Amino acid sequence: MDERRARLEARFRKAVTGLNTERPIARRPGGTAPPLSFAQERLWFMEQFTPGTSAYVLPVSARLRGPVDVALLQERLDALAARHESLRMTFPAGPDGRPEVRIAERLRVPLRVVAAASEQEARQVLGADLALPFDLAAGPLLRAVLVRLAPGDHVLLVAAHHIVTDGWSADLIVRELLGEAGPAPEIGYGDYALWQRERLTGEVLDRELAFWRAELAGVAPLDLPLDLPRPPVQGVRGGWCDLTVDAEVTGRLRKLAAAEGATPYMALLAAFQVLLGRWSGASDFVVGSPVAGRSRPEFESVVGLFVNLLPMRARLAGNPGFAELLRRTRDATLEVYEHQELPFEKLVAELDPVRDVSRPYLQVLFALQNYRAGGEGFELGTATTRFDLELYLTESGDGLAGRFVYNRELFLPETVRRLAQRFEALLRAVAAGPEVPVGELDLLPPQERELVVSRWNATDREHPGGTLHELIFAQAGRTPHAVAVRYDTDHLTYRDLTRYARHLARHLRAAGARQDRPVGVCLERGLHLPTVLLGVLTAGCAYLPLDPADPPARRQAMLTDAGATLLITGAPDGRLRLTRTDTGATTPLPLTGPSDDQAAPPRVHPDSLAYVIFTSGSTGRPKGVAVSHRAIVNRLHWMQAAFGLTPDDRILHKTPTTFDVSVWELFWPLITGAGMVVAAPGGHRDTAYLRDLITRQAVTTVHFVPSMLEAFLLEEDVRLPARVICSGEALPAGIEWPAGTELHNLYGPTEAAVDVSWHRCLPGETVVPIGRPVDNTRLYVLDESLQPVPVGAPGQLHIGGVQLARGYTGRPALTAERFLPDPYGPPGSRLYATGDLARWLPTGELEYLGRTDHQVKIRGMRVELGEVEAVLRERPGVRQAAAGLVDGRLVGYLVGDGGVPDLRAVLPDFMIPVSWVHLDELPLTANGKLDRAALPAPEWRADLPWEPPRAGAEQTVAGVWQEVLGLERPGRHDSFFAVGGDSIRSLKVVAGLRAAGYDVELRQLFTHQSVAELATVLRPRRAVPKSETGAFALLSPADRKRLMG
Amino acid sequence: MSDVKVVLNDEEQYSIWPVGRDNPAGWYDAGFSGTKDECLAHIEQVWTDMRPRSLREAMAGEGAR
Repeated sequence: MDERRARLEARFRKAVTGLNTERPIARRPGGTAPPLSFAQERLWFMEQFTPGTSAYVLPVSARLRGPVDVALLQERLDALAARHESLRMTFPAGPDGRPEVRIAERLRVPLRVVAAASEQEARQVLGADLALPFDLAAGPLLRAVLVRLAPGDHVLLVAAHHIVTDGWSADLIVRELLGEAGPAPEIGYGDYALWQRERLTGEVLDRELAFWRAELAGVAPLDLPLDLPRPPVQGVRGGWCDLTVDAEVTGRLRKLAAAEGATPYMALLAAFQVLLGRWSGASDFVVGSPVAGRSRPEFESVVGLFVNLLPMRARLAGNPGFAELLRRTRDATLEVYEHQELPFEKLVAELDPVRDVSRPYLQVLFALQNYRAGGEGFELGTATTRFDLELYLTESGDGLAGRFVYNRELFLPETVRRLAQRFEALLRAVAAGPEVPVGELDLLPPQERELVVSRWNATDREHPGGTLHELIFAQAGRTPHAVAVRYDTDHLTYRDLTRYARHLARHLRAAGARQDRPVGVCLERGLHLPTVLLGVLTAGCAYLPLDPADPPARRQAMLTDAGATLLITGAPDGRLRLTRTDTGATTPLPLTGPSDDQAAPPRVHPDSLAYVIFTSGSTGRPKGVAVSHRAIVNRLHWMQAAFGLTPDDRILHKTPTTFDVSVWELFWPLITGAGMVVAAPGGHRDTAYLRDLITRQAVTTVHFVPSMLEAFLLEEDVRLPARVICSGEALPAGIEWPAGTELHNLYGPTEAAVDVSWHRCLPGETVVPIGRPVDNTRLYVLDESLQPVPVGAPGQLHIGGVQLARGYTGRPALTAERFLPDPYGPPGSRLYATGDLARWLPTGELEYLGRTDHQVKIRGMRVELGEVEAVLRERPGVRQAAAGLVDGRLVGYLVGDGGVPDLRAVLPDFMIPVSWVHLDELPLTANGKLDRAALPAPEWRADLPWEPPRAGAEQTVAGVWQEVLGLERPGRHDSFFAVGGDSIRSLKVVAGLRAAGYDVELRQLFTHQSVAELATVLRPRRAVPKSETGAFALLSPADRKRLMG
Repeated sequence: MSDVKVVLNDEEQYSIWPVGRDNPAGWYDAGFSGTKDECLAHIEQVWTDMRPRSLREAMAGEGAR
């Protein structure tokens, strides 16, 4: 491999020198200050950005066995600094705020000698030293600590700021301090910086930039599945996890690489990119990889910052086999190596002018390192990282040793430990099957597979079973005189309820109702809504709820789709009517009848349907989800086992019956002897009404869609009942609720009997999980090949178990597409593919992450954008249409001549866009599909028009911008980076504002990018007379602020 | 292109599965393969009664009340 690398290096050198016509690099005239190299400038800027950081302290350590002469060590350190001007550099800011280079004539390197009783104590000493920042303006930027463990046993630590050194330099330092110093370097680092500045201009620069622009076009940042929320500004505390790759696997990888004409580096990079792709679900991203940057022989013996970072693009698209991926990686790497001269910092400035301070431009680093130059190292036991994740591999004997370094503010140790295990599994798998598509390689170690497939799904639990109406009749037998239903001032006892239901059932049977067939129910909420639903079930039928507010044509289409021949409606006088949908004949439906028999209701098979609820369908036609008694009864038994409703409890029924949450509101109390309080029609949207009703009727249990809960909590004098259950939308973190209330987060699609997972919320959670599977339910997070993904990785949530719906009524193909054979469940079982993205948390709970498709939620109700679009396209005058969700609001996009279509006759209220945008044409992606990301926001979010800056701080900021950016008239909403600002100019802005009498922190230019925003964070500069400094220094910063105004 | 096949279980519920991968336990080839769309179109034709077989048989036994 060294040979291969040498060949690459030779090739690279030829490319560089070819352009450079091999002119030797000149030494600059003595006494002239060199410029900063590009990399130095970038590091200097990063240091200003986080003053006092130790993120750029680069350590070299060595274990010294045998006697150490401290005076000689000092001599060698000083000689080292004398040989390499880089180590004598300091970087004060000039009058314009930009850094300059000063080079000291000589430097006595600070050397501390400390005694330590143990290796652990030595580690503490060295760790504390590494945590000390360097002062770039004052220097020195090099220091050493000698820790004496015993008379003949020492640890030496040499720490330098990255701005004057790099990994290659570390080897030079070790060699020169402890061994033989080679010939003196021909040039100084400053000569390199000057050469680089002169060289990378004009045509050369343009050519390099053009290459990289093309190489990185369209690549997205890599979103790794983080364990912890990303802080607003990235921290540097690192952790690590070591791994080893045995000689056998390493040997096979070497052979595989050689067979494809690739280096081990290329093979390991490709494998690492597969690991990242499988973990994150991304197929096109970049990984940073350092190159030595010593492209000319003169550079090889110079200590200084030469290292460059190359963005290596992953090319996983199309799910190739590893051998094919290796060929792609080989070709790309060779090409990229010919363009390694462009400094990363110039590339970033070119490609990513508006920086996000919360994350690095590159999130992940990969390096294959050579073994250290010589001597014995010393494990320092600390790590800092400027990335999300780094992987270092080193050849170790015939095998490989590796270390993952991770950002501790983003990942938990166990996550990286599992990742390391999977990397080893992956290397083994690609070595054994180079033709297997990389997306199908088996990466899960057996223990982790067992966890996500079995242990976290061990939900088997025997329940009494039964059908909904049997359970209610049994309850009525136990407590006939208890109040079952309360509505306004009316109520029904359990006996009333079952008696009326029996009569209804008899009438329905007489009218032709049959087991397993749906009967339409189109009623407002009221005292007898539960009675009617129970009557339908008692007749052996499934109820099909229809919203009286929905367009009649839509209701008719649902009845037809479901094959319902009977429809129950309410007459204006409150009486019930029964309609035969085939003839349209309508008759009164009385609640009473001639006999009052107490005979048990007819037996109904538990696999018979209990209800059919329609949800939005992406092709423009709603789909009816058919749910059996067995499924919903399991759901209710689980709920009772989990929450233990008592006869003293009262549940509020306020959810429209067309939304399946209503099913438990209606039937859970009735099978447990609790009371049900029925909210008035429309009352579910009225927070003041709900507050009064909950108090007046002593409701103990209530459901809220999260957005409605947030609205409810804003109402005055709200008292939450003992138990609040949320579902229907993602429950955001940060909701505050009183101590006397339990808040529960439930998750599930209509296709699996309302809910399949449960989490009891805890105060202060930063993420609200959707929890663990309910009884007799299995949840799987799977990739596209239906393979379980690792803990923490995103995948599509699939549901198995007893709660699965039968399917979509009258839609066999649609059913077969979404209800798949279950490879992990009992023989013959099915899995419902939810279209929801989720991931396992290390606790065994699930976190909801979003959708895989274009389904959105409006007030908890499912809306397929495709359905809205299909309906829009059918309107006269509409040529093309799209729909989107912006800030929780539905927006319609129209191409055509007509105005805004009236959709009230075809769509339910919540599916009608509230804002419209007329377009000349729809934006399309490269492959001709609707480009949803490019749909413009409607006017409420239109870019703010130009406005002059306001008097005072805004005008001051604008004035400084004018000067620094050469602008004619900066507007108050202009964004610094959009009008030509960059990192260096931002320093000038800070300097300019200081001169104008304001203090501002550099990072605030990134967090407050417009003139108006920046003006809000300016603080008048404190001109404290020297004599007072001492006195004020005793005050706390807050007090000082108060005193100073 | 034939990359998907039609499969069914003992309850005579239909679904689809990739050609070339072993069927999960309890699922049998229905004897039709093709593109995903072709397979789904086939299922739309043949899966005329979506009740599970055990329910169908139980209801038939009771004389389809």
